Amino acid sequence: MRTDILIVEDEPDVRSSLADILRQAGYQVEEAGDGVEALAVLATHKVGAVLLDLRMPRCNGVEVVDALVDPPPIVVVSAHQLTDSDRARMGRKVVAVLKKPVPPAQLLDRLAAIVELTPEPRLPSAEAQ
Amino acid sequence: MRRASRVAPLTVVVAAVIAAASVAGFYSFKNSADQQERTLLESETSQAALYVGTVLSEVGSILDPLASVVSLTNGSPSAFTAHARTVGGGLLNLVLAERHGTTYQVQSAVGTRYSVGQTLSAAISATLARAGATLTPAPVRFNGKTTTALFALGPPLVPSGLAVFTEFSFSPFIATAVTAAKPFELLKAAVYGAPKANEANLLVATVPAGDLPLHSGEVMALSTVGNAKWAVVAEARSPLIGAFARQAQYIILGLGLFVALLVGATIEVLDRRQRYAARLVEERTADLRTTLSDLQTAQEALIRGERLTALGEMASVIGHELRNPLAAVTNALYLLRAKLGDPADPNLEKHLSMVERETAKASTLAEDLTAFVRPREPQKSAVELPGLVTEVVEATPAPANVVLEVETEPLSVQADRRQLAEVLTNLVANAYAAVNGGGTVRVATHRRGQEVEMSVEDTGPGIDADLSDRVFEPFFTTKHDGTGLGLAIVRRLVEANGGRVTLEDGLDDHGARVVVRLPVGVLESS
Repeated sequence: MRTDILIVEDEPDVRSSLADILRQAGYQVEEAGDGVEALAVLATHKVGAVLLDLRMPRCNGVEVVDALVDPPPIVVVSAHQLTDSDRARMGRKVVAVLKKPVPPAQLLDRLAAIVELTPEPRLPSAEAQ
Repeated sequence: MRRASRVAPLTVVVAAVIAAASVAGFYSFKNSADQQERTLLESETSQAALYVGTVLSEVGSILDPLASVVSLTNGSPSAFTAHARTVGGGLLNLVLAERHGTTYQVQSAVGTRYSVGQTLSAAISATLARAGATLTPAPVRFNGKTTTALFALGPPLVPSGLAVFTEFSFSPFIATAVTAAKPFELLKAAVYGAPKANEANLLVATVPAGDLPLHSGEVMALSTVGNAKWAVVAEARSPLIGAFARQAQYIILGLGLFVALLVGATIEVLDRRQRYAARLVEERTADLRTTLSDLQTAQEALIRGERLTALGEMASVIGHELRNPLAAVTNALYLLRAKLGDPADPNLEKHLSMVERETAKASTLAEDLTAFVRPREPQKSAVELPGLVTEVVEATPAPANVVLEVETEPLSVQADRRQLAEVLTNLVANAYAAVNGGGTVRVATHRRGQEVEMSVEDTGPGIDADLSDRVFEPFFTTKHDGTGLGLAIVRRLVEANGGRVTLEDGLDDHGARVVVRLPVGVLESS
């Protein structure tokens, strides 16, 4: 299955309101409540970009990034500042780090740039498989 | 450290007491020795006088038989001469004299000095007139070379008007068996043929002529010779009480002074050690006091730091916890705005924009609270101040009615660039807020000695001098919408970078001026 954006966020209100905004903007959105769910979605979907919270009950954001070998672009959206060691651990897999609360207009701008970067031909071919 | 070189009073007192005691001992012993010496000398001299008396009285045993002959022969000169020759062997002058008026005339004589018919001198005549049954000596006459002694007997041993006498002369300084024997061997002595020690009467001496008269500590005793008293003067040849007893006083004095010196030196050494120890204790105590005071200062700083850290942790947690609700509200507002339009219906718009405004303010608070957590360890590098200032004022543009003046010297400091930028941004934003109604904000960097001053001043209302310290405390604010964390964060960041921050009077004697002072960077010149 093809998904434009996966939202990984343990707070239901934050997750659902963000999903509404992205859907309204035209994105195909999947939601995950923690890292384990996120990995399950990533295993079954072709994902364009991931919005990743760091602090979650089961399998936190850093562990999710660790588990992925060739992940889609990841945007970290967190209430917490990244420590230098976290930054080093996640490396280039993370394309942006945004601090909560992110003004939705700003988030959409960033996503537009990132998701556009995903090669268009790949998505249909992935869907074809 | 001052070295005390004066002698301790105790040393002086103790040494003086011992020295005084030894001097007193010296004199006491000397007196006692002197007294003993004198007693012995007196005893020896008396013995010598007695001896002299006994020896000279022997002359009587020569004259006595002659007197008997004169008496028995009723003054026959020939009988006297015959007998006198047998007695004196012709060596002694032996004379029989008869009174004629006031003087005496020689009747018979043996020896060389007197001849028959000779009239005797007034002095001899006077002696003969006094002569009786007891041996009567004439005063001895010493002419500087020889001495002459005369002894006479008179009535009732001889008939009235007659007298017999013997006279002999000799050198008083020639040692004889008498003067070489005890008691004279211990003494320097002189015997005078008179009751007083006149040189003209010297009879005999055991010392050379030059040593007379005797002085130092001499003793006089009177010797009975016939019916006269003759003087015997003597002093000791060597101490009679013994050389050791004579020297003992000096030994006492010497030992005493030595002991005084020894005890004094010992006391002085002990005293100096004690003084040294006391000084050491004083110094160590002062060191300890300084250390204690340093520790207290450090402890206070630590407590303040820990309180701030705890406060920072709590603020940070609250800030984080606010972020999720704020994120949900922000998202919901975005959806509402999309639904209701921008601007929305005037009745709704008023409330909607208020919620947006307040949400933004709450987001800022959450941001400040999060930032108040203890700053990370600064990563220092050379920060060029002009570049930093330009960057910050460009990122934080002045409001329309505020004039911004920038005045920078080409300086650099060793600091964490991001933290220093945060400090300056904070200060500039504060200054803009302070001159909200219009005014001037000046950002300047200058060098002052070994420090670099980075100041942000404004023409705003300023802050009371008595609040100038409190403005750096967390949650203290003079602004209506301030969180009171901005300057607290500034101070923590500045101090973490080895600097300090103060609030002073601003432009035109009012307004505020915040000065950040940092050490000059080592790479300044490059």
